[in-house]
Amino acid sequence: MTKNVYTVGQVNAYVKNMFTQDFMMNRIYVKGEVSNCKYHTSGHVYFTLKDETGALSAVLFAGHRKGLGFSMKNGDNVIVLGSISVYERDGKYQLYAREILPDGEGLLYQRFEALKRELQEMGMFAPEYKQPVPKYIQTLGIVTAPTGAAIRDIQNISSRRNPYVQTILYPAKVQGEKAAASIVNGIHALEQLGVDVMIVGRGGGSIEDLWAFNEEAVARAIFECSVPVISAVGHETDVTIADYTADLRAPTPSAAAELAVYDVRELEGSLLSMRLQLNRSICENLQRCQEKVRQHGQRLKLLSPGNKLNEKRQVAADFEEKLRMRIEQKLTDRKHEMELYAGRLEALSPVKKLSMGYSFVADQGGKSVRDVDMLKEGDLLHIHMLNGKVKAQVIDVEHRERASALQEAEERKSMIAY
Amino acid sequence: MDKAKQEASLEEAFLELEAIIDKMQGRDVTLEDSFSLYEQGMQKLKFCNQKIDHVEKKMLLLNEQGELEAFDE
Repeated sequence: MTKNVYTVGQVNAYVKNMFTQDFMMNRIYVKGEVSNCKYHTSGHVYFTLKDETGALSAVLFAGHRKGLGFSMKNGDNVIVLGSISVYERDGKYQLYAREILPDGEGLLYQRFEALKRELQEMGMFAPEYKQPVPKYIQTLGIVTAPTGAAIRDIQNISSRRNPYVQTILYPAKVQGEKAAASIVNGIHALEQLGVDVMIVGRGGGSIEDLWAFNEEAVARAIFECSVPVISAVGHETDVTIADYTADLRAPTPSAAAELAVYDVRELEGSLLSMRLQLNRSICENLQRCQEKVRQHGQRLKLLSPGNKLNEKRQVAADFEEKLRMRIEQKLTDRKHEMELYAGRLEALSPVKKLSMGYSFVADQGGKSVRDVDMLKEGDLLHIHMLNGKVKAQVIDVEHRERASALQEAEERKSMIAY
Repeated sequence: MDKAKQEASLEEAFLELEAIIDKMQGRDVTLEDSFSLYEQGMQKLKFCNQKIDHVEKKMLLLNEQGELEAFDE
């Protein structure tokens, strides 16, 4: 017939190659209603996507089952992320699903996750890019709607905390088609004006209402802004891409105002307390020095020559007293000794003996006569008595036994000693 | 930015004030040092007070032409 004849396989391969090379076919979101949904025992899920105009076969292989986070059934409206390729055996093209999401919020969520992942990979959420938000600002820029709760809350809190901070509003569209561009313009305008800090945000709303803050343009403008940006979108639970690229995320516009505007009374309070601390410190230091001076004065007085002299005088007086007492003691001791001797002396006194009736016999030379053998008849003796003396002559000498005389003498001696 | 520098200096002044007070409360500071620290502290306080601009501000609106105008809600 004709010269160009191809096999089925060649055609199918050719068509498949066309699909494979098509950029869009490799990563595509398709939405439709689920029908013919079959969960195969192998783990693969076969289904058909259809709308009013037609149908598209689809398969989710077991290896991608984690891309299906809910139990899909016939009649569900879903968005499928996947690639479209040719199944050569049947000569049919079909959708190879990687992720299946319920339609509606699902799409926005999908876009949110995709952009978040992308920007995160680019490092736009990295903490090292976060600028510190200055504490003591003079001008605060605000990018939000000129009407609504957000601007009122920011204004109230800002003027309550610090009426001296100049607030400058860029009235932006915060929802709808042109919102992202409007917000970006606001950020640029306030950056150019040169504010100290910027709040970018809006009050609460549905995910669609908040969507502008999930746009890449807004996220980038915040990231690239040279002025520190505080994001404040919706309520505590709403987290947008803008929140991730902002230098600081506030849960609400009110909270953003609290973070951006320092409390002037608090500052004045701490200035006052510092003043008081300074005054107290100087007083304490003065008092401490005065106390030191007083103490040193006292020590100096104690160490003065006059004081030293007095001390020495006291020592001298003490010694004098001791000396006096010693000498008195000695004198008393001697006196007692003397009295003792006097007593003994008195006991030995010849006068006393004479008074007791003894007499003292002496020879003519005045020498004491104690031995009868020294005498003979006719010798003259002088006998001394208490009240005078007698001259006498020996008439007879009688020699007594020596032993008895000695004994007598002993007796006499002991009597005298006593 | 000029303004940013000013803000930084207010924070710096605070840090310096804390340091001065800490030094003054030390046990072994001399009376002479104490006086000079006190003087420094008072000067810093004066500086801080001057930094606070005590004029109340009304909110301004930055319009599309980049002009500032009064903002009345």
